[in-house]
Amino acid sequence: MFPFAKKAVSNLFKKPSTVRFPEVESPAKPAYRGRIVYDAEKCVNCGMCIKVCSPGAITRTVEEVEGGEKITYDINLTSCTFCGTCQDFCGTKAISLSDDYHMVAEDPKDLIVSGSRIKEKVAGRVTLKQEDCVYCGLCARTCPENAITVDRATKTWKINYKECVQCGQCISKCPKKALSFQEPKAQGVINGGDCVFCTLCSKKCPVGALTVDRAGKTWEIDRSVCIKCGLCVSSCPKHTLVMGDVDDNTPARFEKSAAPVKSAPAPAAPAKEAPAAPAKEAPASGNAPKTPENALKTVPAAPVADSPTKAQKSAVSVNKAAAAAAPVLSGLIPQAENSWDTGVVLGPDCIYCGLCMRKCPMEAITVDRASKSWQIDREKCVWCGICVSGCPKKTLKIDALSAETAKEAAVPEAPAPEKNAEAASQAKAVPAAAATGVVFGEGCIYCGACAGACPVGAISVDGSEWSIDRDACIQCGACVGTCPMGVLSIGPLE
Amino acid sequence: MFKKLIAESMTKSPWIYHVNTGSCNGCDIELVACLTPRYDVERYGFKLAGTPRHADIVVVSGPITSQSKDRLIRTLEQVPNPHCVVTIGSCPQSGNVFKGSYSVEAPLEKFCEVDVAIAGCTPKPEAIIEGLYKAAQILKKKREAMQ
Repeated sequence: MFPFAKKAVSNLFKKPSTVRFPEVESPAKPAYRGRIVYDAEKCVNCGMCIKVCSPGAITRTVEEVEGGEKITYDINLTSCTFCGTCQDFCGTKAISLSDDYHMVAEDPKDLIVSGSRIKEKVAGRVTLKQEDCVYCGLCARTCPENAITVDRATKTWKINYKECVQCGQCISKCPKKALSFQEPKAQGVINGGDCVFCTLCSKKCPVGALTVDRAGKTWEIDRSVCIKCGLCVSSCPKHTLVMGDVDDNTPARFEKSAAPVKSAPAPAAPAKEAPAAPAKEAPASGNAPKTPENALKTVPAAPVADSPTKAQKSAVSVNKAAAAAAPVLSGLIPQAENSWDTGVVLGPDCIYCGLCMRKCPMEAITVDRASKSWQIDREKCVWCGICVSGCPKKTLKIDALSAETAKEAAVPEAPAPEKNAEAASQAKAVPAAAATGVVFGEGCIYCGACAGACPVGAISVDGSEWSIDRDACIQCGACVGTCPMGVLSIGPLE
Repeated sequence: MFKKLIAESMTKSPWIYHVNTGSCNGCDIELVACLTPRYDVERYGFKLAGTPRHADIVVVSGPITSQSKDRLIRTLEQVPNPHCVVTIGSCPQSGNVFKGSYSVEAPLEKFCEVDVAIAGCTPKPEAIIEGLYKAAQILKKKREAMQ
């Protein structure tokens, strides 16, 4: 009882605890988060505050004005949660929360904190000096727009200029000072060096800016004509043409020296074997049809006594010999005699489907299903590899021609029985091919996947009817591999 | 003579009615704090009314959820004229972090005229007192206009 009475009496002589607010100003406690203060001059327009604002109270408007851009930030206090995240994330401390809590207005528009400034156009764009970059990724982490991607593993640095707001934060963060604003260079087509002079690019070019000389092995672009449409880039089978920065020093001409072909898988081998090979090969050429005049290589059908692989290789040597026999071909190919070191090589699994012939952009391949022959015109072939990737049997490959022949010379008999066995099976299979075909089993759901996969359009699926044009079918097996139900197979026809 | 006296008295003691439309309770607590002896808004005649029919000032907090929308409208209809509508915090003005939700109907301007907006999340009791004082001024003008 007594302590309470004591308290009551002591309180009688105390001032009232009421905060006499409107009469006496009552300041906010330290660290109170009140009205937002925005300093437009400090702002670099990185947009980080907009990104981190959970109620979306901050908006940015960019207007084009004379001498740059007028950037306006509107911070709507009637939408703000006063969480202070914008203040924490602002790299330049342009946003801060004051202790002013007098945020009362009759018109909510009075509660919008706004600031604007004119940002001068930055000359150039963020450019990387590649040799200085250590791929630390700090720039990517700093970028408020996530415009930069850095991959340490593959040592790649990429920037999306559409996303970049040129805030310059990456430049100031870069520990190696490898980033800077630079005038963008003009874009143009650059030849990467793997060019095989296939002339596909010049054929695709809608303005005729490209000149490719197959015989002279030169590639030339007229940059004043080029419209940078990129058709040549997308058409290049070797992916050697790229769109990149060009200046006056960027070569508009690309030439290949007579040195060993870059694209050959084993560049050292042809160089070594080349002098010795023709002499060894010359006798072997007796097996294959001699057609050096048009430089055609013919592979006879499998039933021939000799194995197809062998025949083929000898045929290669024919070509080789033909190339060596310069006088006949001099008019056609004025290059060094070992210029066709590399070429498309046919494996033993060929079913003469003719897909390679259809796909060849240079029309270098001739396939005759009836006589089971596969021919390639080495002069036309550009080793683009389209036939290789399109082969349903994966029997085509690009290989060094002389290396092939050298291999045959070096390993005379050991793999031969194997090859012969293969050839024998092939020989058996091929005559039987007349009676084999795609066999349609039970369980079809008529999804039409096989029709879509068929490279020759032999299959048609209509409702619950499945039909195949046996004459068109090349038995490539694409439908068998595609069938989700596994009802198709290649086997003897009844 | 009595009419004049009543009018005079009413300007001196605006009664407030508080509607919570799905508020997180932060603003409500601060409004109640204003009525406690600490801030003692009754010094200026502000008094919490038990029914909207007695109210002069309607204080709205919360982002106006779909559930509370109809009840809010019904409440506002019952408030006699002249009256003032005051919003506390960001929610009734914009929806705050709840904006864009399927169950939030903010802003309050869609349903009635807002006389005073008090910003903050939540506003300090001092700011609420300031807002209520401003509302009382507006109310006085409205009453004079009606006479």
